[in-house]
Amino acid sequence: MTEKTIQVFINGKKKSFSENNNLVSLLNILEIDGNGIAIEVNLVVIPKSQYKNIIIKNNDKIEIVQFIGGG
Amino acid sequence: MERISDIKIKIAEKEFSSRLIIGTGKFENYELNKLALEASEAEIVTVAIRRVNLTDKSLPKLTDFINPKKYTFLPNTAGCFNANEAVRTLRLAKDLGGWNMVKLEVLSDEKTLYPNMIETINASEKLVEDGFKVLAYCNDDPVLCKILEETGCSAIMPLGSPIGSGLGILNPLNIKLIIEQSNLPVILDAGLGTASDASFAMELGCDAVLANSAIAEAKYPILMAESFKNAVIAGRQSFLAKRMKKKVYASSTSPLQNLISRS
Repeated sequence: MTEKTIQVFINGKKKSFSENNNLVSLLNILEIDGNGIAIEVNLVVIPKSQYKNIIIKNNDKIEIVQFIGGG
Repeated sequence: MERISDIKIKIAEKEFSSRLIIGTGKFENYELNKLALEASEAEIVTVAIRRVNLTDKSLPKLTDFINPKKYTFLPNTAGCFNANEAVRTLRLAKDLGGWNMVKLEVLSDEKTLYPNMIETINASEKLVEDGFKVLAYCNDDPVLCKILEETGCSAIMPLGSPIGSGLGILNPLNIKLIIEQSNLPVILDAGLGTASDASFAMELGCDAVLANSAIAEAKYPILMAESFKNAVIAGRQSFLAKRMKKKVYASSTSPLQNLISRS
């Protein structure tokens, strides 16, 4: 059986992943440290404790943000 | 002899010893930013929220240099041009750091970076409802500042002049009126260019000042940071000391009696 791929938008960029990835595995694939970031999926902020429960779906719009210098 | 001593500043129910808030933008690098922050002895730093770079992960991280456990991070909404963007950004910031004290900044246009006060007031209402402690960047308009205060925000942050302009306080009368009417801390936010601007703000009666470009764009930012520290203390002391009255004509400092003969 071939695994289906889905397309999601991460920080405005289109990316392909296999189905059934949660946010923890998404961060692993992207090699992003889960500390010091926040994630929004389709305009909803996802608390860290929920990362493992949120499965990314086709056409999801995901924002991964961090603190940077600002005035 | 009466001795007046200062009290700590209370913002959003938290007490701070320093009345200087430092921005973390525009510094050549985070190391310099860190050293300037240390020299300033500020306890609060403003920070921005931006997308993680997905391609270059080797870029230095602000939090590797400035410890969020040591300093109070004040997430801002710089770059937001309407209430929804600002609220969305601060919800992410709340999740990022767990703090609810935020700097609301809703801009009107890129040329002046003047605050859009209608959107600022709308955003402040929503954020207060969400449980945020809102420190709101605003215009130096006493009427709008009063309306902003009524949204339930925690501090008023009027501009001295446009962000990053270094023009100082262009309308001291308005700043004075805002201070007089305000039941909240007034933090002079934008436009300071040099240390004397910070002293002036404090002498007017501001509770604190926020400086970023003035320090980051100085030739020697660490020295300028220290200068701002001293200027804020000096200005605050001067305010508490209550300055002398201005007079039109001279008033001799040395007695004019018993002078030696002029003839």
